Amino acid sequence: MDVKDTVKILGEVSIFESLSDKEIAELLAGASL
Amino acid sequence: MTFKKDDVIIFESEEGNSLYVILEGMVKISRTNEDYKEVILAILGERDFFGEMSVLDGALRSADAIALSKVQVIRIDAHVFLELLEKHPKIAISLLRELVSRLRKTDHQIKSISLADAVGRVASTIIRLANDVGRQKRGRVEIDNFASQQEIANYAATSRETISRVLSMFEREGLIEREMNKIIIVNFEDFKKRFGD
Repeated sequence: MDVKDTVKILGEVSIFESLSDKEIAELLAGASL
Repeated sequence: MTFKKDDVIIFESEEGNSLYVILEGMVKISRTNEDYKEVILAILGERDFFGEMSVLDGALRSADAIALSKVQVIRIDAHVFLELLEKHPKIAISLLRELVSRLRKTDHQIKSISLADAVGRVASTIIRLANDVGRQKRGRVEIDNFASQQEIANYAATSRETISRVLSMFEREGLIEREMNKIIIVNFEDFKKRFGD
């Protein structure tokens, strides 16, 4: 799964719906994939 | 991070310093009682998260999280998540809503286990699975990668034999259809009405 797909899925997680794609990408940078 | 079926992603009683989000696959949240019998508390699918309790209160993990299929997750460290909560109050509100929703489901599960007969418990468990991990299509709900009958039994707090008997009865009555690793509820609204969910 590439980063774009991962950002899309995270944006659909109930608690992260209010985050922008940019903020989710930043969150992803600090996460373990 | 990728796990294969039956891999333990987190262990009950270990220290918890991260939250997990499921990108792909299904995960069961379970505990083992003093008789070494598994009790399934929840089955989670894509876009669900787990591990938040230890992140929030700093206590040890309250249950195991075990892969029911091939699972892909991302792990978010506690300090990253807690900083995010401070920075974005909307996330905290969404998290509260999710926790309340889980509390309501747990209340419902306790009611089902304590009040319903075997048929009611199995029906209630199937409805819970359909709501949590099912795919709705024209009134039907398909539950893919369905757990084993023993796992459904552990979720419904009944025996595997009872699950087998009740599922066969539902199938004979045309309420469900079964394919390889899939259960299909033929008419979900009717099913819910019939079993009072």
